[in-house]
Amino acid sequence: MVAIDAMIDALLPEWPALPPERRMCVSADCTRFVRRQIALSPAHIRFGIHVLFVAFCLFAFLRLGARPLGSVPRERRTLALRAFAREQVAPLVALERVLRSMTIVAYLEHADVLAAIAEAPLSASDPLHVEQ
Amino acid sequence: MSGTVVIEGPTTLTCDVLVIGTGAGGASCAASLADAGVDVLMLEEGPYVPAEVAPRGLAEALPTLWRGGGLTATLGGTPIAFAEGRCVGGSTEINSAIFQRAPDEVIEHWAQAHDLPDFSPQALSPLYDRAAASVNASLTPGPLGPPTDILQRAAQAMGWNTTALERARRESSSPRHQVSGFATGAKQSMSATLIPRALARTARLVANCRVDRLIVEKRRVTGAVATASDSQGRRHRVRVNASQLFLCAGTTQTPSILRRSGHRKNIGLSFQVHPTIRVLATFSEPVNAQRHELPLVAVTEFMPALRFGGSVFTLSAFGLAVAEDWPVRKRYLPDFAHCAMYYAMIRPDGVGRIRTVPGLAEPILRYQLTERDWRRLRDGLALLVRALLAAGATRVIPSMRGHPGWTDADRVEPDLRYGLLRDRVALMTIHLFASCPMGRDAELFPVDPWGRLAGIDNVIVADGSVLPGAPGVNPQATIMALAYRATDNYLSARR
Repeated sequence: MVAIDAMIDALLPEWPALPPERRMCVSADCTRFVRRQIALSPAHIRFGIHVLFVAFCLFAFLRLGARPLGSVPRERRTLALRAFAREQVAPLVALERVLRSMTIVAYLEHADVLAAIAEAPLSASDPLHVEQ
Repeated sequence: MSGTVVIEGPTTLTCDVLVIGTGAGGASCAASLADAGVDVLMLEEGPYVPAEVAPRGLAEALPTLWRGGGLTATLGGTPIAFAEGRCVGGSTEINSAIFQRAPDEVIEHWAQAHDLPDFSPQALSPLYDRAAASVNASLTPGPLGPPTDILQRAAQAMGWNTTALERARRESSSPRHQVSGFATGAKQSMSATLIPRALARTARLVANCRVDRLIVEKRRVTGAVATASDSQGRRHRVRVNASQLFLCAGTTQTPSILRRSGHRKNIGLSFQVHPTIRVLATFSEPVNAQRHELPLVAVTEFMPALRFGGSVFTLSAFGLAVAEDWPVRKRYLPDFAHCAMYYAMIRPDGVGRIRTVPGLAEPILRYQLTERDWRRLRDGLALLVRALLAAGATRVIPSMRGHPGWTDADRVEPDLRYGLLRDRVALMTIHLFASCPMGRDAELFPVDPWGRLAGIDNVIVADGSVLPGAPGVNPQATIMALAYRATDNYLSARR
């Protein structure tokens, strides 16, 4: 798994729950979509995304050790990404937001995800009514 | 003779009138010209996606119909994400098809400030009527659903005026245009209305054809040089010879084409947008906004400075709002049925610039809000949040990173007493205009009151770029009305 694919995979929501093999398939489709979207974006925005992506790779290298991002477990990649965005440097947050936005569009319109949502019971935890 | 033209190799085309761009402006011009029997050729940078095969979701629409795949933003102090169509029909293919006339006081202000003759609400009224008839602008019948009811209830609680919104629509049971906020009914975009009308008469259309530059000889444009992509993705040089040009490529592309062609005076120096801040509101009862029309009422109490409305709500559109601030909002994702999205939109003072950079296909847009704009956005947000809480929202979350949202209306003003957090707020817009504003003084304005380009004798600009400023409402109706005005003036001079 190349670095950007690993990053997009780490951005996939946990909800709805998908069987692992379905999730891999959805992840691959989402990655294809996000890559295509980046390729379509205006050159100056695409350049910014690439620069920030390199910054994240350096950050992940320091935080996760000298190994390919794709070989790091998903949970650790997700934590690294969260820590990266938590730096509160606007461009770093923007990178995470742009990639997550595109990932989530592809994810929430994926046929497998829509099928899982249709089958899922309504949220039992009812997060709208906690932490008032 | 009329119909779509397929480019398979280097080609030279000849026409009487060349129309560049097929959005609200270009389609209106082309249809009027074709009605009059004029030999018209339309060039469109994006693909032709007829209405009957329009994408049903954002994941398909973004790469197909949206400029830059939807990843476009102005640069400047606070970036503003913007959306523009890049397809036959332009932004009318991606908007919500809301049809609104510019308020009378805005039209009167434009007429005075830009010294526009025969430009009044009364003079424009028949042109607006024509535009409305072209797209069947009409109220949506039947109960509109909770998203509309909530905004109506919020306005009532605050004692504010509202206006029911007309849309370009016709009756249909098809759910095809859900991505544009239609629960039922068929959207009447340009690809469903004026483009087929023009093609059925004397017009031809070349899609997937990007204009590189205009050919200018002395004070006349004699044609354009363009690059067309064929079905295999191969690129071919196209030269078009024409005796008259209607430049309708849209607010960002019209100034880009002119600047690339060496025409720069007053071009792209004054573009405006409607800066918009969105809120996500949660409710204890199900709203099921994804099953209903987008809110078809607007709060017009503070028009034209400030307007409240509702956003398209599909699961993926909601996902985009959640993704704006994932750590705070991700817990709302499973409860999408209890959420709705609304916005506060301002008519700004701030202006921006559109610049072309050699080697870059897309222009660079810079936009800066004024202090008064920031205050208006802050005031708008505060009022909207209070109204939604009064209407029964359990929490209202603004597009500000890290903000948990308000549950108590009394906390809103104290929390915003220092204004919006500019490095945390996410602004967006789908309305761009005024990059080549019309005006009488050729030293100040690049386009005269009838859309004729200063310094070149045979170019008429007719798209969002000629609007004198921000209308305070969706600009489609005004773009169409002014395009009809410019075309009528051209045709009467031609006879």
